[in-house]
Amino acid sequence: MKRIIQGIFIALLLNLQILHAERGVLRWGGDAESGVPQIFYDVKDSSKLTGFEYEIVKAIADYLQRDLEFIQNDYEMLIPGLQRGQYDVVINGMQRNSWVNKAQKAHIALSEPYFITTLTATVRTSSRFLRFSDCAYCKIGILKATEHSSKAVKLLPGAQAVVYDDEAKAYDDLKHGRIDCVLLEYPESFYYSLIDQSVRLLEDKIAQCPYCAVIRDNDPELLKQINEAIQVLKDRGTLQAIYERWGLWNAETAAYFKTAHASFDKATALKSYTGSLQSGENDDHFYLHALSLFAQAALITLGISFTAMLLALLLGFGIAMMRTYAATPLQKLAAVYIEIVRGIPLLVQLFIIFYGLPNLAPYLPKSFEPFVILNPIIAAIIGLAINYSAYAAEIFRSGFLSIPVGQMEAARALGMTHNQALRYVVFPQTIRTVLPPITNDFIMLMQDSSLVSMITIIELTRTYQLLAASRFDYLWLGILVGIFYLLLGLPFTRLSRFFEKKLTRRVQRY
Amino acid sequence: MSMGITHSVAPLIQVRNLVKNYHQEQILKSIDVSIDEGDLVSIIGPSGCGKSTFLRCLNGMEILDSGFIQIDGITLARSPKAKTDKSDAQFSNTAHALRQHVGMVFQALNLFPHKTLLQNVMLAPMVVQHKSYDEAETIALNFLDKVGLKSIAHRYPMQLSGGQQQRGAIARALALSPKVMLYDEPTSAIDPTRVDEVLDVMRTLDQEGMTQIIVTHEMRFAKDASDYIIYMEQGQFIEISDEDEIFINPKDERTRQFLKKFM
Repeated sequence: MKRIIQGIFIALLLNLQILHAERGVLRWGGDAESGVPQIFYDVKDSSKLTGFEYEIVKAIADYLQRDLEFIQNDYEMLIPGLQRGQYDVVINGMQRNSWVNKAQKAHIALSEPYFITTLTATVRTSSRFLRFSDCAYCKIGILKATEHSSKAVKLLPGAQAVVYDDEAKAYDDLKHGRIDCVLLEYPESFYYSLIDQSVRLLEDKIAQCPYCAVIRDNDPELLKQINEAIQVLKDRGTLQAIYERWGLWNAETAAYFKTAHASFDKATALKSYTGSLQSGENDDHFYLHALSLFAQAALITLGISFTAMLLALLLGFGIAMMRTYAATPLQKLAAVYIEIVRGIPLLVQLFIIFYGLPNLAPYLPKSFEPFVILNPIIAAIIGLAINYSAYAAEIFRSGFLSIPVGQMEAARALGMTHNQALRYVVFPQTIRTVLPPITNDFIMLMQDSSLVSMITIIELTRTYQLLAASRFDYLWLGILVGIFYLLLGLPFTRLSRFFEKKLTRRVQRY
Repeated sequence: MSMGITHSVAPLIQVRNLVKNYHQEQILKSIDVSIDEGDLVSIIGPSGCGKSTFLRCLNGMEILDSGFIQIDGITLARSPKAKTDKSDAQFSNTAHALRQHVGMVFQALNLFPHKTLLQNVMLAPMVVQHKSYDEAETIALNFLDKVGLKSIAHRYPMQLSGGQQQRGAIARALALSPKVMLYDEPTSAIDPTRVDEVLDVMRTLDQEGMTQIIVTHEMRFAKDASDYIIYMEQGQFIEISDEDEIFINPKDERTRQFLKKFM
């Protein structure tokens, strides 16, 4: 975690060209949110990554003699992040079957499989279902961006798919009877069934899911290296040992590896995970550590929000001037800008800036590359600043319009030019009127800044999601992160109220 | 238009054929007048007769449709044919120069609320005439003293009565050392008990030789203090005469009808 944050800041400071990896670093993209048992933050020490895929990637990096750099991204955005060069390889339960037909169009290449799992259905322990086919005419929970499970649901007569962001929410709904079955890959289902006795797995294996690494198709050298690493780790038994430790070694992978299917006894990693969740002995340590991670993430949230707000105010002030005082065509232009920026969701704007702009790179001279392939923090600040500049512009405009016309006339009659009248008479008076709505906007911006987690930045909300997912604790960590947001906003509301009072006192008769 | 006033020297203010339209409606219909230095002139007439518009034309706040205004050697002129953006810009430039010689006080109380009385008076000398802070402060305190507000120079406008605010506005205009002062109903937005303190300031200025034009409904003040009075109706100067004559023996029937309401 620390290393990720440091990495982001170093990248920001040096303004590295992201496309070109430093020698000796394997930049790996994955989603540690709801990642048990693939990739997740250790329950005992929330600063450490763990999971069977984490161990595989580590083994691959070791074999290639490279340092490993983990870049967190939302599961759905893992491939776009790869395409824009945010990292060089995605190893995170990528389904060979669902990507193989789209690979060419997406400019990606797939490695040989390193693991083969199956889709498995989870039902309530109390239900009478024995096989997946019993779930016909039921509501079945699946995860977003999982084609193989939605296909399996479609094949079942009368079954209706309910799509979830993460498995914790799907399991909650299963337990509360909103859905009757959750269809996920075996590792997630298996691990969840271990810690929650109110659900059980169905025996049948519904579809095979081979996991593979994904690389950009213009990087054949890395593809070759990773395929070679997988082959070697397979032959050496390293992969089998990892799967055994995590209790995931299965007949399908054994058949693919052409080795014998082994016992459950070696599942030490699994036992350590379930053991530490059940004992609860590490709680204090976990929450204490969560606190320090939240504090670090709060700095990122605050830094991004504050910089973005400053830029938004500057830009918004200029736009408001144009909208109110410029020549008619410029006024219209400013109005169009405000409409467009306000009319498009912030998330879409962030995606366009971060994932969309890099598509222009091939058509531009090489020296323009740093301006279209933006560092995530810079992209986040630009996105938020542009979005909020439109709101700030409207606030400033209503501020300008709230000043009586007589003020401008009096200033003009004193021989001031239009600009002098604005500067010395109109603008100073608008401060008092615009201060409260602008503070309000800043608080909203700070909350909206959680959206930048979609462009690989680990800020407060994403830290919360990551930590909560490895322990299935959304309540207490949620309250904790809520307190952090409150504390971040409080000084600004207080400060604004103080200035407002001070400025109001002047213009009130006593 | 024949007027009963004769001029011994070249008048300070000369207006010829002044026409101003608003949306095809003629607000000022070819006005001619000359005003000598040191005169105090009152303009009276019913609401909407064009009094305020005339005053606003005199300091270039309104762009004329045609005509000619000359104040202290600066000429604002416009012929009806030359209505282009370029001539508008030229007009604005001249009007801007003119404003530094013409002070104006409005009906609405419009001291700048975010500044103290002293800062209000100091602003224009510093911004427009680029005077130093100390210089501007000396000027400002001098004029605040003249209008009797020096002791409360550090108050904000909202802490002042209407009469004090208008006196402050007069000081603010005087700080630029104008040749002419224009007042647009300066006492109609303030408490009746506070009217005299404002009118007294104008009387003092008259004695000091300031040229002043006042649009007013204060007939008593107009009668007592003015050198002469202009009666205006429907965009025209109906009668210009001596303050006694117009009240005792108005020449025009319309003037008589108007004054009957006040007497």
